[in-house]
Parts: sequence; structure tokens; C-alpha cells
Amino acid sequence: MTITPFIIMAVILFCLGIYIVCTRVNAIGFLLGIELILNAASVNFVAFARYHENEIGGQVFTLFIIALAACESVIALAIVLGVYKNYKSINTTNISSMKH
Amino acid sequence: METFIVSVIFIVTVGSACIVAFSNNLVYSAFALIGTFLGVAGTFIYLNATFLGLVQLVVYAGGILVLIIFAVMLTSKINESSRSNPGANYKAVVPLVLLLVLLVGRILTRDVWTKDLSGMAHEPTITALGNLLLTDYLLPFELVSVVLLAAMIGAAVISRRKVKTQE
Amino acid sequence: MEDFIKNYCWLIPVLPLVGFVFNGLPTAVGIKLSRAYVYTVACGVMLLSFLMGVGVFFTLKALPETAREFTNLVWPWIHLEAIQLDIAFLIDPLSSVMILVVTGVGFLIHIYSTGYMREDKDYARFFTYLNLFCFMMLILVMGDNLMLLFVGWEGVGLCSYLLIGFWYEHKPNGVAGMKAFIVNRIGDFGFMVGMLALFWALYNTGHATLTFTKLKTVVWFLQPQTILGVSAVTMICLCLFVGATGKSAQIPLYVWLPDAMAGPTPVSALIHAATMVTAGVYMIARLNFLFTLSPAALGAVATIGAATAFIGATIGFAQNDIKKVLAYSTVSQLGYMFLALGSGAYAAGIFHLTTHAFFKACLFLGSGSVILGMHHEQDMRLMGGLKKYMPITFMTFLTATIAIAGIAPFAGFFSKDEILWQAFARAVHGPKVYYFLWALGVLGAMGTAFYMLRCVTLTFFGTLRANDKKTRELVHGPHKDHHGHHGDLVPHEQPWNVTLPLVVLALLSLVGGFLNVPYIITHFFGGHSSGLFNEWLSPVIPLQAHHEVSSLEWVLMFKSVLVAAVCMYLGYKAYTSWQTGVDRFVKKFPRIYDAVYNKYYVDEFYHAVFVRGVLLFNKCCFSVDRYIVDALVNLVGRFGAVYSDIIGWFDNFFVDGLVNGSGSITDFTGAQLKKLQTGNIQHYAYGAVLGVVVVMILKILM
Repeated sequence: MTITPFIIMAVILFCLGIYIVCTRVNAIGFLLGIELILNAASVNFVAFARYHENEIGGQVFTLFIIALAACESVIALAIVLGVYKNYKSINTTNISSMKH
Repeated sequence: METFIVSVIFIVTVGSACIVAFSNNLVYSAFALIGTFLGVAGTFIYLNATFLGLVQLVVYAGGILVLIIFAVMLTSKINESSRSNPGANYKAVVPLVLLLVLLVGRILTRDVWTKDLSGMAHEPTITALGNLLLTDYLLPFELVSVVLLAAMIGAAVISRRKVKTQE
Repeated sequence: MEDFIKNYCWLIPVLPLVGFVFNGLPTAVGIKLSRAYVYTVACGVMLLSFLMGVGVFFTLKALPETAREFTNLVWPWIHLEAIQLDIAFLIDPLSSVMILVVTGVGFLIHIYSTGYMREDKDYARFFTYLNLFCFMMLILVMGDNLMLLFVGWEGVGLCSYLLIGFWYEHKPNGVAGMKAFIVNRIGDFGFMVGMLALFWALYNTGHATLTFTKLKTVVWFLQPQTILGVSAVTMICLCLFVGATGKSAQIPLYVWLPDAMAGPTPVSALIHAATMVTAGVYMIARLNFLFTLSPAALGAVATIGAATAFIGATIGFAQNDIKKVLAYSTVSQLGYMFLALGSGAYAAGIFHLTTHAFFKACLFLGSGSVILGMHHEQDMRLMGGLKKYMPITFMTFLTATIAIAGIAPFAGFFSKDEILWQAFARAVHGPKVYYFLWALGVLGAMGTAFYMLRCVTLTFFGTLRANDKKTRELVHGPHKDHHGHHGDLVPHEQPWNVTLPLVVLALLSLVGGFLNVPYIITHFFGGHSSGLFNEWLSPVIPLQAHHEVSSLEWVLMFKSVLVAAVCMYLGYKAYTSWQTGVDRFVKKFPRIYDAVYNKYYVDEFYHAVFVRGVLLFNKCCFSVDRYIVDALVNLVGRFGAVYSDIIGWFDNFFVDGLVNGSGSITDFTGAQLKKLQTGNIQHYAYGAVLGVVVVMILKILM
């Protein structure tokens, strides 16, 4: 058994994440895509750490990714709630104050 | 046996990720994410990162996901929720993503990862992780702590302002 | 004391400047100054300046003869690679004599002016100008280089102009001032050309300087130089002499001096008799080492001088205005000075300058006293018998007259006879033309004696004619009583501040000649001095070499006195008991009388030739300007207009097109790019991913 299936899995997760980010209109759906991308990265780190037996560094990075993802989620959801209070919607097409 | 376990993990992960991506219902997407997180946790455990697998379970499945579902509940009205996760720009995005799949797959599989994992020893990495975090990675570790603290305070401030604007 | 004088001799010119500022500034801003303040300041600074001058004189006298020269540097002025000029004052015997003359006579005339101008409304302005004049004159005589001398030269010209036109409400006075100024400009042009030529010629030899003490040592380098084929020295001397003819009223530029009598009489005495007009004499004496190198230039100077001496004297025969007579007399006496310079007897010229300053100032001041006494009547035909009314004026005037006529032992005898003898001696030893010049000088001396006695006789002897109605109408035309006084005119003597300077100057004219007793007389009495004055000046002006005592000199001397005495007698008789004879002569030869009376029509000639000529030239210039220059200008203008039309068209279509085009392209691009800014987060994410994909493709392809 090699790590190839896990790498393929990571590629799929990453591309699905990109797909979500580019298509989803809902801000929370958008957030889900980001979680997928982060997980793809984590999987790659752990897989390569395993591949190179003694490299515990990859696992440390994954640990950091998990911690930062938690922070990111908290902040992002707080923002989403704030946006909802202001716009009565979390539909990103409606939130276009930054338009020219 | 190993092939079976890997297959199950692969299917669960990718399958639930597809549901997350293609479901039009936000609630389904959010719940399907649990499957992805579980699959990833399984992957971690299989790849000799048991501690990470547990953290994945606790933080993602137990924390972040609950938070997301709360947010969904708070922002969506019940009658809208059946179609609350609309998509857009498919015509432009789909080719791009397919192209991306090809490219990333090409890059990642350019090297042949022939090394067999079966013969490798399964030994706990938690001790080594702890040592590394408090020696080589001490500074990033502390920084992450500060970031966590900042995130906590930030989230509190944002929600507090909401209260204030309501007054 | 000596150090004080050496370090502070710049005070001599600066003191009058202080007076000028103290009187001039308040007057300029319109503050009415009290007369006491004005004359205290003006006369005070002149007195201090005079005392300083005396101090300078005695300081020099205490020094050994060869060391009687020092320069007082005030501040550096023009320091170029080619030439170094400083504001510096040269003190040597020559300048000390000039300082004494200027400050001494100047001080006396200031005193006199307090009396003469006592009723004038522009009292302060008068003294302001007078002090400024003294400042400029002292700069002129003390400047240690030709450039500084020129500054003073122009400055006195300005003051002369201001003071001639002092009573500017009366138009002829202003015209006379302008005439003086313009005629002097012609001379000054010559002076400048001469100065620049001197600089240029010296620059070619590599010894450029205009400082007198240095000029003296480098002037030899000039000898091989030529300008326009003429010897450079001669050229330079002639140019400088043109300047001297302007300032010192010599032929052909003397015409301004008689007109300058329009100014107040003290001005005539100070500026137009005693000091300013002698500037040319001083300048040539100062540059004697230069003129000595050029016998040709000396000949020109002597010729002009002798001719002026003679012609000035003859014009004096027929003038009726007392000041005009004295003015032509001044022209004539200046001619003698130039004759002396031209004969190489520079010291004699300066000596005559000094004695002339005494007696001519005395004469002018006396005439001023007469004019005051006659209530501003200047015509001698209306005077007569004033001896009785104004005894002090009469005595002093007579003394000065005898002095100018050249009767021994009065001042004029010694100085004038010295000049004639030097001219004669030069004729004996050098060019024979000097015999002719000497003869002209003698004739001029006879004329001087005659017209001066005519003047004295008409003014002081006989009976007063001012109250004779017929004579009045003859002089002023019928029904004209512009003095506005009614009843008979009774002349009266003047107060002390008018008569005191007269007495002092008369005494000086009496004894001044003994400063320079000729060698021949001292020799006769057993001495061997060649004249105190000559010896005093010897560091600057080398003593004449020949000392042989000839009986010829005695003969000439007695002849001079005799001739002068005879002419004086004739002059007296002609206008007393022989009056009818003179009238008959005038009737018989009206042409001659008219010619002399109208000053040989020189003014008319100048007017016809130069003034008309200039006006004609002016008209030609105007025509050229009108028909040729204007046409050219218009053509150029038309061309410019057409050209600018083309440019304008090009500008509108091409340049503006470019500018507007680039503007609208930017505008358009901006409008298109603006659409990328959708505000939609998916689009931004799409862009980011697109970028990643592009980078990946590039990475793989490379």
C-alpha cells in the first residue's frame, strides 16, 4: 500500500473546495469550501510525513492548520452573523458595496 | 484488509465531499461535512498520526461543525432552507476546476510514490510532537496561542457591536 | 597727531557729505529747518574739513620731501584680475594744495552764502547742494585713481547742474543748467574714451592700472603703443584733454560757462570760477608724467589755452552783465592755466589756479555784493558811482581787479607772468609756435586789464544811472519795472558775513603771489629759491631745469606790468572822460562791436550746426524708423501671424488630438477595467484561481 490514494483524495478534496468557493453564493457554503481546502492540505502534510518516516514536522504543521482553521471559522462566522444583521442576507451577490 | 480500510476511508471522504459540493441544501452540505472530517480523521489514524486524528475529531467534528450549523440556523429562515445553497458561474468554473484537477494531479503524481507503507512501524508520535512543539516550534506555537486569543476577543467584539447597534 | 591725520584724512571729503545728509534728508522729506541750524551745520562741516586740510598740509610739511605721499585706503572697490581700484585717497603736495583751495575758498563762500541767500526760501536746499558739491570736489582732488577722480568729476557736474538751475521757476535758468550738463557730457565722453584707452593700452603691455602712483611707474611702457596709427600717449592725452575742455570751459566747449551765471552768485564764485572749472587743470597736472611724453598733445593744450585766453578776453570787452564779464574773464584765465600746462609748466598752472581762486572768487563775491546792493540789478549800464555807497566792496573789488590785471606785486602778476615767461622760454628752447602763443597770451593779458577796468569803472565810478529813466528803458525796454520797487534805488553796503569773505579773499589776492616768487627775483635779492610753491609741488611735478638768469626775463616782466598798467589806464579813461570816443568807435564799426557783443556768434553757430544738425538727424532717424524699420517690423509681424496660424492649425488637429486621444484612451480603459470590480467575491476567487492555474501552466511548460 502506497500513499497515492491519499494524494488523489487530497486532490479531489482541494478541487471540490475550489469549485465551492467559485460557485457558492451563500457565505456559509463558501466557508465549507475553505474547510475542504484546508483538509486537503492537512491530508497531504500527514501523508508526506508518513512517507518520510521520521518527519514529525508535517504533523506539527497539520496541528497548526487545525488550530488556525478553528480561529478562521470563528471569525468568519462572526462576520457572517454581522453581515446578516446589516444586510438581512448572507447571499454574497447581494453584498456588493465594494462594486465600482 | 488494508486495501479495504483505505477504500472505505476514500469513499466516505470523497463521497461526503461531493455531497458538500453539489448539494443545493445548505443543511445537507453542512452535515455531509461530518463525513469528510471523519474520513480525514481516519486517514490521519491510518497514517500513524493518531493524535492528529483525535484532534481532528474533537476540533472539526465537535467544534467547527457545530458552530457552522449554528450559523446556518441563525441566518436562514426555515422555509428557505430547502434551497438555501444556490450556485452560480458553473460555465466558467467547471472547465477551470477540471483543468485544475489535471494540473494538480499531474504535479502530485509526477513522482512515483512507490514506497510501501505496510512495513513501517506503528509507534505513537505524541511524545515527539510534544517535544517539537516546546523546542523547535515554540515560537509558532506561542503565536498560534496569541492568534487564538485574538480570535476569541475578535469574535466577542463583533457580536458585542451587533448588540450595541440594536440598542 | 600725524597718525590721526594719516588714518582719518578720509574725513575731509566725508564731513561735507555729513552736512549734506544732515541738511538734505530733512529737507527732502519736507521738514522745514531753521536757518541757524542749516548754516551752522553747513559752515561747521566746511570749517572742520578746512582744519583737517590744514592738518594734512602741516603733516606733509613735517615729512621729508621725498616721503610726502601717502594713500588712505577706505575700502576696496573694484578688484578684477585685470585691474584693482580702491576707494582710496591720495595725499601728496598737489592734492593738499587743492584740498586747501577747495575747503578754504569753499568755507569762505559758505559764510558769504549765509548773507547772500538770507532771504531765499530754499535756504536749506542751497546749502545741501553746496555741501554735496564740496564732497564731490574733494573726491575729485583726493581720489587715488582715475576712476575715482571720474566719480568726483561727474558728481561736481551734477552739482553744477543742480545749482545753475537753482532758481528753476525761471525757465532760462533750467535751460542754462541743461546746456551746462549736455556740453559737459561731450567732454566727459572724451574723458571716458581717454581713460578706457589708457587702460586698454596699459592692459596690452600687461601693466593695467589707473592708480596715479602706479601709473607714474608704468607709463613708459606706453611709448611704443599706437592707437589707430597715432601714438597711444598722444591719443589718450587728447581724449583726456577733450574732457578737460568740457569741464574747464575751453574752446570749443566753453559756451556753457557764461550761461552758468544764471545760478546764484556764490555758486558762480565757488563752482564756476574757483574750483570745479579748474578740475581739468588739476587732472592734467596730476597726469603730468603722461602729458610730458607727448609734445604733440602739449602743443594742442597750449594752443587751445592761448586761443581761449585771447578770445575770452576780447568777448569781455562788450558785455554789459557784470557776471558775464567775469564769466568770460574766467574762461580767459582758465586758458592761461592750459597755456601753462601746455608749456610744460604744470606748477605754474596750478599756481595760477590757486591765485585765480582767490581773486576770481573775490571778484564774483564782490559782484554778488553789488547785485544785492542794487536789488538784483546785474546790468552795468545801470550802475555807476557805487564807490560811495559800498566802500568795502569797492576796495576789495579793486584789489582783485589789480591782481587779475597783473600789476606787481599782486597775486596775478606772479602767476600770470610766470605762465607767459614759461611759454616764452619754451619757444626759445623748443617749437617756435610758442612765440605766437606767447603773443596771444600777452594780448589776452592786455585785454584782461582793459575789460576789468571797464567793469570797475562802469560799476563804481561816475554817477548812479539806475534811477535814470532813459537808461532804464534802454536796458529793460519801455514800461518794465520788474523789480517792483517804487521810488529811487539807493544802493547799500552789505552785512559782515558778506564783506568778511571779500576782505579775506582780497588780502589773499594781495599777498598770495609771494608764495611763488620767481627764481629771478629771489636771485636778485641774493636767495636761490625757485619759488615756495614750485618746491612744494616738486615731488609731484618735477622742477623746471633751466635756471639761467637772463635779462630778457626782466624785460618781459617790466613789459607785462607796463602794458597792464597802460591798458588799465585806457580802460579807466575810455569809460569816463573818453566815453564819446568809445561811442563813436562803436558807431563807426558796428560790425565789430556786434560780433564781440554777440560773442562772435558762437552760440548761434553751435545752434545752427549742432542743435539743428541733431534735429535734422533726428528727422532722418524718424523717417527711417517710420518707413523702413516699421515696415520691417510689420512684415515680421505679418509673417509671425501667418506662421502662428499654421502652428495653431497643427496644434488644434495634431497636438490636441494626441492629448485628447491619450485622455480618452485612458478613460475608456478605465471604464472597461472598472467592470472587473464587481463586488462579487466569487469573481475575485475565480480570478485568484485563474492566476494559480496560469502560473502552474507556465511552470509545467518551462
